[in-house]
Amino acid sequence: MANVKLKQVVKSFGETKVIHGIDLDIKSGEFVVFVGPSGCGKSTLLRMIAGLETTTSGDIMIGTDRVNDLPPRSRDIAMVFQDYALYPHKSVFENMAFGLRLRKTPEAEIKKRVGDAAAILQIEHLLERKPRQLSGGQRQRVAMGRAIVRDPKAFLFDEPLSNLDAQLRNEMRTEIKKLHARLGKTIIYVTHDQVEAMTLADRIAVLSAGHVMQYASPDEIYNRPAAKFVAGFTGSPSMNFAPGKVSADGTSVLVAGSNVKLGYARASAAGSDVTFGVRPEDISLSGENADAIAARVVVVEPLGAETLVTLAIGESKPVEMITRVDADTKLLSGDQVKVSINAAKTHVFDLKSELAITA
Amino acid sequence: MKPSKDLSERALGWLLLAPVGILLALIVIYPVGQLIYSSFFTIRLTEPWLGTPFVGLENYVKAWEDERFWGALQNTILYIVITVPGSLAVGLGLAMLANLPFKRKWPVRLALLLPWALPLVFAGLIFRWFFDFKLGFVNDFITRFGFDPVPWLTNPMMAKIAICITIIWKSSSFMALVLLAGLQSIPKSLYEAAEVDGASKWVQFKEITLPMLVPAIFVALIFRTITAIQTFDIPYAMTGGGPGDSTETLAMYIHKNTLDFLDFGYGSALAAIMFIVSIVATSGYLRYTQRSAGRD
Repeated sequence: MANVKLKQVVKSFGETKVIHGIDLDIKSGEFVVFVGPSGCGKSTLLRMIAGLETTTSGDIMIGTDRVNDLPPRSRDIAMVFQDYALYPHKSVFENMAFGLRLRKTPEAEIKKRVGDAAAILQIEHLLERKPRQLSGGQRQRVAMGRAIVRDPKAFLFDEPLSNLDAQLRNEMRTEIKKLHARLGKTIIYVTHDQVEAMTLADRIAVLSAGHVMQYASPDEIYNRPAAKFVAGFTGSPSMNFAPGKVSADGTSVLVAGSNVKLGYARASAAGSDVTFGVRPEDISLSGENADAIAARVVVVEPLGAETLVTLAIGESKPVEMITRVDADTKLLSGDQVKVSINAAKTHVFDLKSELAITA
Repeated sequence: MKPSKDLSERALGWLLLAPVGILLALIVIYPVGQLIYSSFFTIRLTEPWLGTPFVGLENYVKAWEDERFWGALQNTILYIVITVPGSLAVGLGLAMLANLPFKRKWPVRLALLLPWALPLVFAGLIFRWFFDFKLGFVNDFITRFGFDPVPWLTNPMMAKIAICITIIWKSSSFMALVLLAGLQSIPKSLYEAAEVDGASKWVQFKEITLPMLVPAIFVALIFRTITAIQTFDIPYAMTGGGPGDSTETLAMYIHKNTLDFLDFGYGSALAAIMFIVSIVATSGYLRYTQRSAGRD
């Protein structure tokens, strides 16, 4: 087990720079998720750590070793691939044993380690089968088994659940979380699914266009997003945004003709145009009160456990925002309602840089 | 389902199959049948007064006792045994070369395709010049290093070697194309997984490339073996079967009997034997591939 450090890591393909000087510090035993939209460079970054892509500049450290110039096999990492990359002509046992055999592990030790890993992953009955005789979920387990028998310094997962159907994905997500709790190994996990990121990670690195936008705990990412991009990428439905203007004293924002109180003053942005943000769960239907804002129901989407309501908020130039309400709330499109916004959970972003304004 | 409907559907099935069936009968079954039929008769156009009497297996007995037939068969088997594995090895090397991540792929592909696109007789003529005792570039090359020129096409042993080299050169590109298709179907992530697992390039070749390439290798081997059994053009153009009949193949001997000696009865019997050899050789491969497919 080891920590992984990236220092000013850059990757260019010819003239095109895809990773722009990333610094990350992944602690030993930590579960870190790289998340971001397609093409943000998250998989490239993972493959650079694995050694499957060269590093244009900067340092990649695994433990105390700088591994930039080491081939993948010398980095002592294990990787789970998106398409599982199981050797089709080898049995499940041989797939899992392959790395151990190459390291000249004694046969008895191989049997023991494969047996142990198979027991953890509940695939003992599949050891004699060929990969094509397995279901997607079973293949996924075998791919993880192949990684854990090796007992490497770090595990790298490259979108391991994206080929599974929704239900299996949820199950395997739980399995992976359990596995991490059990093994306590350093895991770097790439996904474009923010739910996976939020549920699995100790820390999340949100990437966009080759930059780390924020590297923090899921709670921090969700509740204190450092940029509009991060705020919009997490949560489902994602954060509502609307153009606004901060008041002269910085304590409120004028949104769609209504004054919305902020949790704390943004003196630095006083009087300027900004992007206002609030998550769906922080808008609530309310009775008449001083801060209530008029809204019209546009769309009602019942989900069973809760209902999503798209509202046109404000009077002068209404903006559409989504809120979650209790499943029992009966609303119809066109209804006039009053809503309150939880001041403590409001966000303000700079119009130009799109970074969060926090003071 | 009603029986009448069942019957009409079956009839429709046969009707739809009929054009292909008729075509197959016309271009395969009829000629092969005619060939086997002729092999039981004496049909010598040089001796028309003999008529075309039925002789039973006499032509086959004649082949059994014909030393030149055995010599031709032996040469054919030699060409199969040497050039089929030879072109597989060279073809695999070329395929792996062509599979390297070149910036421009088309010059490599073109270079691969050229020998294949060249007519067999051209290849034979080109290499006859290469191996020419006085003017050939091979002898020119080896004499520059102080060796004596080699009588490539006039010494029976050397002529066989020259022919094998030419056949391998000519047929490797086809092998390479089939194997290249096989190589490109191997997912890149398998190599990456093996790389992470700790496999060297050689281990990756042995543990991933070769096993994954087995189906393509079999397809290539079947095609190559069939064409090797029919070897004709290259030795015909290079040596005409000589010196003596030391490089003559079965196909050349059949050609000689039918078109030179105009002995169609005997020629048909020899062709029938070649047909049987082809079927035996390829059914061996087919049985193996079916067995491994069944195992999957």
